[in-house]
Parts: sequence; C-alpha cells; structure tokens
Amino acid sequence: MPPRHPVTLNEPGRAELLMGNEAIARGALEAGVRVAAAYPGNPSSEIIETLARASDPKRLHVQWSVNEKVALEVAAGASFFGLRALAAMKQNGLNVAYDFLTNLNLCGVKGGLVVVVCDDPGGISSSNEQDTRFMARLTDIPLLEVSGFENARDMVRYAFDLSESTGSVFMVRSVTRISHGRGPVTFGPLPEISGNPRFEPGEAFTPFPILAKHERRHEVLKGLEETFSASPFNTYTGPDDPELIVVTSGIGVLFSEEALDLLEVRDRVGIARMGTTWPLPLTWIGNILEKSTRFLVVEEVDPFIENNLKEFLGGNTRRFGTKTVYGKASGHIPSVGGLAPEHVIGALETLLEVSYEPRPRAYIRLVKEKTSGLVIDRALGFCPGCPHRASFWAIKNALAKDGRKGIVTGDIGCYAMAMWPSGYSVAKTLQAMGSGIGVAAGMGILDTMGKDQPVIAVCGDSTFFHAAIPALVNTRFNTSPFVTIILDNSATAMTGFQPHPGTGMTCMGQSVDPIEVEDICRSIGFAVKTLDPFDLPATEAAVLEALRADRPQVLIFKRTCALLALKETGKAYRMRVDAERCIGEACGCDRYCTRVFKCPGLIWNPETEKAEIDEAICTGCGVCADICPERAIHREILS
Amino acid sequence: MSREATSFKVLTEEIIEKGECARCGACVELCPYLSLYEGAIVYPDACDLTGGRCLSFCPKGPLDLEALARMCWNGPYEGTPLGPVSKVVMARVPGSAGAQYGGVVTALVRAAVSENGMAGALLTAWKDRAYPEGAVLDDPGDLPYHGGVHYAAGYGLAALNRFRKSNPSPLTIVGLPCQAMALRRMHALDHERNIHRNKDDLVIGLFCTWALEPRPFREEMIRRFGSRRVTRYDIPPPPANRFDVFFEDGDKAEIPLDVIRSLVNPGCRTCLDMTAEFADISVGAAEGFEGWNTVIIRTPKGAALFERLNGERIIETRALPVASLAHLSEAAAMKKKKALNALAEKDLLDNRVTLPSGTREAIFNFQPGGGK
Ligand SMILES: Cc1cc2nc3c(=O)[nH]c(=O)nc-3n(C[C@H](O)[C@H](O)[C@H](O)COP(=O)(O)OP(=O)(O)OC[C@H]3O[C@@H](n4cnc5c(N)ncnc54)[C@H](O)[C@@H]3O)c2cc1C
Ligand code: SF4
Ligand code: SF4
Ligand code: SF4
Ligand code: SF4
Repeated sequence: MPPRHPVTLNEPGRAELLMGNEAIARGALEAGVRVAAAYPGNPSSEIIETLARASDPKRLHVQWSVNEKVALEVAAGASFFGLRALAAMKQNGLNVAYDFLTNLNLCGVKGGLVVVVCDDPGGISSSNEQDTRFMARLTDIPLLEVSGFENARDMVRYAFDLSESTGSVFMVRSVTRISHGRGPVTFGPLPEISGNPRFEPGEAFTPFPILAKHERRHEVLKGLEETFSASPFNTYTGPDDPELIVVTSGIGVLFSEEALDLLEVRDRVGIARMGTTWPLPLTWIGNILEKSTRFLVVEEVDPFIENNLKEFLGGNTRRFGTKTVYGKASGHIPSVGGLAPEHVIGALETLLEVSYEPRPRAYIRLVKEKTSGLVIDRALGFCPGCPHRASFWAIKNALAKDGRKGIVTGDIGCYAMAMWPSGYSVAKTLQAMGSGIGVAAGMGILDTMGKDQPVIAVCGDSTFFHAAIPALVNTRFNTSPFVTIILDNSATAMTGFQPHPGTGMTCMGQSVDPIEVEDICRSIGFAVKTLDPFDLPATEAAVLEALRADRPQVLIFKRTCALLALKETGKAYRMRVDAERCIGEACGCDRYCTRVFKCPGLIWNPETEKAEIDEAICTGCGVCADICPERAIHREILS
Repeated sequence: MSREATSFKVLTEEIIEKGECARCGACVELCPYLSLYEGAIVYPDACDLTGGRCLSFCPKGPLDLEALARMCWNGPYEGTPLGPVSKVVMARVPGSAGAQYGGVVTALVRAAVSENGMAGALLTAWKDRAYPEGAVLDDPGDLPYHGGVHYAAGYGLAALNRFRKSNPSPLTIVGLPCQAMALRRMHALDHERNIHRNKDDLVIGLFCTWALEPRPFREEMIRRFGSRRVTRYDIPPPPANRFDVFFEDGDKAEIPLDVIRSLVNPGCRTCLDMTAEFADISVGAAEGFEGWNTVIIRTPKGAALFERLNGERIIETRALPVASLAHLSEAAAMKKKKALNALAEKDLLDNRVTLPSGTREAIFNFQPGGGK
C-alpha cells in the first residue's frame, strides 16, 4: 500500500501547497469519488498516483487501466451503479477513449462521472498539442476549465455535483502548466462514504432511441447555459466601461492578470475569467459583451472561446452591434504552442498603445552570465545505461548489414527518441500508441507489389498492452511480413514507472500474476524469440535473421529500465577508460563512444583528448566496453 | 563555413554508392565505420575525419597515376597495355590439382611463405563459404585447398587490415589488379596510424578483366542451383561465351556469359589495369594452352622468386608465342580504352584519376603489335 499523502487527510481547513493534479485529486476526494481509473500520460499521471494513496478496496478503487478507453469504461461501470467515478487522461488519451465517450454521452450517467483531460500545449511531453475542448463540444458534453489550484479542487467538486444532477458526463480540462504547477489549497471536508452500489431494475444506459437521446443532450446543454451563468467560476473584474476586456480561461487567466498588473492598465481593461467554457454561459457572457466594444481572447491552444464568441456575436448583431474580437485570428495571440505572460503583454501593448520596459538590459545580461553553466547542455536522449540505446544500436547495425534500406516504425514511449541521434535516428514514423505495428503491417503487405525494403516496428511493453495487441493479431491474420520488436523494460518509464499488466503489481499495491508479453505473442501464433539487448552481437544477429524471414516475426528485447535496475540491483560494473589504449579522435576511432554511441556516461575530455567515464551518472551497464574499437573501455565486476 | 568533405563521405557517397568501388577491401576494418557483411561494405555510422586512411588507401580514391608509378616503378606512367614488364613467359606446375589453370600462383605462394620473415600468405578463400573473403594462411599445408578462383570480388585486403592490428610481419599477398594498386598505396601512405607503411610484402597479381558483384552473383547462383556446393568456376576462352560451374558431386552446369556479364561489379568498368601492373609478378591464363599460365615478371623481387621455382624445377616454363603476347596486349589495351571512356563519361578524369599528359592519347592510339 503506498504511503498516505497529505491530500488524503480529512482535515478541513488544513492548507497545503498542492500540484494542480493533486488539487484535482483532492476535489474528487471531497466530492466522494469511489472509482478512479486512468492510463498514465503526462501531464495527467499524478491524478491517479495521488488518488491511489487514498485507495481502499471498500471505499475507493483506483486503477491504472490498460488504456484510456478501458479507464473510461471502468469509470462508467461504476457510475451506472450509482457511484461517483473519475477517468483521467492526457489529450491523446481522449482520442482513445473518444469512441466510448461519443456513445456514453447519449446513454447518460447515474453517479457523477467526470473525465479530466490534461492538455499539453506545446507538446512538451506529447506527440501533438491538440486542444481537446473542441471534442467536448463535438460530443455535446459540458466543459469546465481549471485556471488555478484551489480553483481546480472546487471545480472538480462542482463538476461531480452537476454531472449527477444532469445525468451527463462532464469534462474538466487542465493544461500542463496548471497540472504541474503548485499553489496553496485549503482543504474542505471529506464526505462520509456510504451506500452500496446498485443497478435499479428498469434502468438502462444505451444510446437508443438515438434521436431522443441526442435531443436530451441539447436540452441539458441549454439548461446549463443558465446554470453556468450563475456559476462562481465565471468572474469579471475591471471598470464598468473598459476600453478592452480580456476574455480568458485556463492558464491564460494567470498570465492575463500578470500582464494587466505589469502594464498597470487595470483602470482601462477588464478581465473576464471563464471557467465554464461549453456551453457558453449566455447571460453572463452577454453582460460582458455589452460592457465594451473590444475584446482580446487569451486561451491555449486553439481559438475555442474566440470562435464561440464570434459565433454568438454573429447571431446577435442587433443586440450587440459592432464588436471587435482580437486573438489568434487577428494574430495578437500565437496560434500554436503554450502561452506565456509575454504573449499577453505583447498583445496589450499593441492594442492599448502602451509599452512595457522589462528589466534593464544590463540586468538580463548579468542573469545570463550567472546562470550559464549551471545546467549541463545535453541533447534529448536516452539515460545512461538505457537498454533502448543498446536495442537501437543492434537494430541500426542489423539494418545496415541487411542493406535493403529498411526502416523502423516508431511508437509512443521513451523509445520514441529513436527518431533522434540518441537512438541513431532509425525510427521514421511516429503516430499514436500502438500504431507502429499497425503502420508496419500496412507496409509489409506491399512486398507482393514489389517493395523490397524491410520494416521493423518497435513497441514498448506498456504500449503493447495499451493498443498494440489488435494490430499484432491483424498482422497474423492478414499476414504481413515485417519484424515486431517489443522493447520490454518492465516499466512505463516515460511517465514515471507506473505498474502495468506485465509488472505484477497494481497501483493499489496488490500483487497479481504478471501477464507475459511473450505468452500473448505466442498465443497469437508467433514463434517469439526473447533477447537481452545488452548482448549486442546476439541481438543484432536475431534482428538480421528476422529481417530475412518472409513471415511476420516477433522479437522481445527484455532488459529492465536502467533507472529501475539501478534502484533495484545497483551497478553491475565499475567502468574505466584505459587512456593508454584510447586513440580518441585519431583515424580508427574518431570518438566512436562519445560521438556515435552517445551514452551520456561517457564524456570527451578535450584537454587529454581521451574519453572518460562520468562516474556520477554511468550506471555500470558495461555495454560501451563492447563497442570500443580499441578495447580501451574496461569493465570491473562489482560484487 | 565550408569544410573539406570527410574521407568517409567521399568514400561512401562518391565511390561506393556511385558504383565505383572495386571491392578490394583496403578501406574495411580499419575502424568501426566500415565493415564487411555478406559481400557488401556496411557503414551504419558516419565518421567525420578528413585525411583518413580509408580514402587514402582506396584504389578508386583520388589518384595520381604518375606519382604512384614514380614511387613504385621509379619511372613514368606511360599507359602501356601491360605496365612495366621484365619478362613474360608461360608456366605451369605439373600435376597441380585444384588450381585454376597452371597452379603457378599457389606454387609461388608456397615458395614465398617459406622465405625468411614471411608470416604467411593473404589469399582469397571461398570454398564452403557463401562469399569469397580474405584469409591469412600461415600453414602452407592448407594451400592446395585454396586454389582456384571465385569470380566475385572478395574484399581480401580487409583481412590484411585485421591481421596487421596484431602482427606487423610481411605477407605474401595474392590479389587482383585493384588490390595490387591499393597495396602500393597502403605501403606508401605517410600517416601516423598507417600499419602497412613500408611493409616488405610480396605481391602476386592476378590478371582480371572484371570481377562480379558478390550479392547479385550469389542470388543468381542460389536461384539457379540452390545451395549446391561448387568446387570450380571457369570462363573458357572465346568463342565459348559461357561461364562454367563445377559442382562437388562431379556435375557441371553452364550459364550464358551474357547473364554473368550483367552481374559485373560496376566499379570494374573504370579500372585501367588488366594485368596487375603494380604487382611484383602477375599471373593469368594462357589462352589456348589448357593447364598453362601466362606470367609477367615485373620486379627484381618477383623475378627472384620465379627463378627460384624454376631452378628447383617446381614449375616448367616455355616461351609465350608472339601471337599470344599480341593478343594479351590487345586485350589489356582494350580494357584501358574502355575504362578511360567510362572515366570520362563519369567526369572522373582529372577530377579523381590524373594521368600524365600524353598518356591518354597513347592509350587511345595503341596499335596491336606495338606493345612492350
Ligand atoms: C575475379 C577474377 C577475374 C579474373 N579474370 C581473368 C582474366 O580475365 N584473364 C586471365 O587470364 N585471368 C583472369 N583471372 C586469373 C585466373 O583466373 C587465375 O587466377 C590465374 O590465372 C592464376 O591461375 P593459377 O592456376 O595459378 O591459380 P591458383 O594456383 O589456383 O590460385 C588461385 C588464386 O586466386 C585467388 N583468388 C581466388 N578468388 C579470388 C578473388 N575473387 N579475388 C582475388 N583473388 C582470388 C586465390 O587466393 C588463389 O591464390 C581472374 C581471376 C579472378 C579472381
Ligand atoms: S557502462 Fe558505459 S554504456 Fe553503460 S552507463 Fe556506463 S558509460 Fe554508459
Ligand atoms: S571508443 Fe574507445 S578508443 Fe575511441 S574514444 Fe572511446 S574509449 Fe577511446
Ligand atoms: S578509416 Fe579513419 S577516416 Fe576512414 S572512416 Fe575509418 S576512422 Fe574515419
Ligand atoms: S575500392 Fe577498395 S578501398 Fe575503395 S571503397 Fe571499394 S573496397 Fe574500399
């Protein structure tokens, strides 16, 4: 059982500095959530991790599901039995769950059901920066946007109440900078948990009759237009007849407040903070729109509020007359990426014809001087001793030896970095979870049309359970000769080592029989070969052999993630570079270890012109000893 | 910032990928960047050095023939069909089973490796292998097994690079014309990490009109014969126009020579040398005289070895008929002409290969019967 987290304490009035995701978890606890499920994904993972610490089989079930769709299904199951349930996911995850969600909306819910989606503007730890707010509107479900920490807690509680009273799934949207930011939250009480889950005779949760159910959605949204207008999450501060009103949501609220303060224009500009973004709170927003003629919409990522406002204005020209809405379409706010206070300051400078002096240049120069060198300049790459480095080394060499210009289809996980030099740039495609195998299957079938380049799909162990199994079954069914390599590092490493079906542990701390990737592949019908990627020659040989086969092949590269291994078993070797043997930049090596192999545990010393081991970060995996052409890197076994 | 192209980049992009590589093996196994796998050079990673050994050794790399000739022959590069010749004779080893023709090469090797200081011989081994490859033999007892030729290029000099990493001794080296030239460049290069510099190797050259590209040739053989074991290949003299394959079980098969020609290594098309002009002694077939070799003795070292064999009556010799010599010169001159044209077509003359002024004309104007 994971240790208790302060968030789990029933101490009303207690103030804690909480991460946005912890505040969301706290909101769910204060709302009496009974089931919470998710698939890990930055920036959403900490919601479930936090709730797991309050888990208790009788009161609160928390799980890492195999994917987001299953997570939402699990939550819905609980809701149909009358319990409050939460499903959390990152923006890409909503796509996985969306098929279910677009039916669930019609079915309605019983216990409050809240879907928390954490968007990642800028795609800091994602493969895209999609704005999921459109997806709430698309499927007719109400949408709330958190804009602070206490606000997040309050909003989640509010979402549960309304979800239950309207029988509608609610979506709460957070963004990276709130989910991963921190702020003070004063706890409210945790409710008594009582009552047994129950499915009443006569109840049913189906989308039929579709038209009636669809109609019902529209009625709920219509009603919410008024409910939201009275909601405490939509507020206005500023003069009664401002020159301009900043309409904003999410992290945009914090940045806009900062901009107004720095520019000292509060007497000229009002700020309308919108917490309920869909459906539009018509009465409230109508009042706001009447206050001024110029509006600047500040939101991440796409123009959701901006477009909705324009639509509303366009339909009510008689009432509102001519209004100007600035934002992304007008070019005042960037149309891609995450926001920063500078963006709002810049827009206001133009619109108000004011100018802002940041700090003097000399100061900025001084700061740069003082801080440079504090952080080591390191390219994005695998950790020291990462098994993926060895895996892609073997794959790269095998592809070169095979000589047919084969390619690798990548997938989501740490190993996505195989598209960059750390993974020798072998991966050439990258889309959704599990799609590496599916895309490769589409390439493999082209052999009969004259394709002569082999294809390798890579897939992590967690990704395998998430979405790769159907693609693999498809490969066996619609035979497609390509090589699947499952990079099994026994961890969902990229998102923080959450357990998955192969690790034999649930997030509630129960141990269960691990599900072996190998067994699943075998039962689909593949003759699976399992290899240790640290054995470079054997791994390379196996890849080469698989590339030559004319039937689909599955290889499993099994080696625990370096970070876990270091924690669990410590260093296997102490490494040393023999300076006598190291020829460094000379013809015959050209810094092969540091320039090509690129483990950060190896460093180039420009003074001695030799390679060295960085003892502080080398994990002692020993792999580099096998790649040095001069056998200058030595392993010493540590007991 | 304009930077000199790296040796690796020129070698891989301008030579290997443009179909210029002769597959001699001189650039292979010097470092982790260029290695050999199943009849092809593989290079998964890029090196960023300039002035590297790989490109300096490569017989298809930037080459000034005049400079190389002056260094090896103490004379100019004149473009004569057969290169410097001290003597041309016919020879054979009586009763040499398993040899390609007269068995002179194997006999020369056997005699040479017994000389003082020789650590062994570098041959191209191919029997029981999917691809021919270089092998250093230190036991002359194994020599008979390594007679006969494989017509695919074998990158034999890769084995020399491997061998010299741990053993600096001189070797007797059997190689094709491109390999003889590469060897001279390896002996000459002034580079602090050149392990071949000034080595006293004895170079036995083979005549060669072309070699085959290893992977396509193997594919063709597998397509036709599966994995049947071959003991000998031969190209009988014109007008036969066939390529003969002899199997272990005594069977023989024929492949039309045109099929085989389509598998010729493209790099051979720009090769100027048919008779291994940079060798100490060169050996080829004696057309029309089954079981005999044509031998061109070039250097004093080559002459001494040949005379030793002759004196010990290991080989028998006879004069090469004038008509045969004329025919040989004509064939060699033809190869030069075709190569010059191909070099010009690829815009490599003067850019990559430099010939002294007048030599080009000498090659084009060569008249049969006028050779040395
Ligand atoms: C690719 C190729 C093309 C040739 N073309 C001609 C030609 O056009 N005209 C001509 O007269 N002669 C040619 N020869 C030479 C000829 O085939 C004989 O090698 C030569 O006459 C010596 O005969 P031998 O009986 O003394 O050989 P052996 O005593 O049988 O010795 C043969 C030697 O050839 C070497 N060898 C075998 N395969 C290869 C290879 N792929 N690359 C390098 N060395 C190899 C072996 O190491 C062995 O030492 C060619 C040889 C090769 C390999
Ligand atoms: S042993 Fe070598 S490869 Fe492994 S972590 Fe240390 S430096 Fe990196
Ligand atoms: S690969 Fe070996 S020889 Fe080359 S720089 Fe590294 S330690 Fe030195
Ligand atoms: S031989 Fe030298 S220059 Fe050429 S690739 Fe190898 S290390 Fe680089
Ligand atoms: S001709 Fe020889 S040295 Fe040149 S690239 Fe080919 S194998 Fe290497």
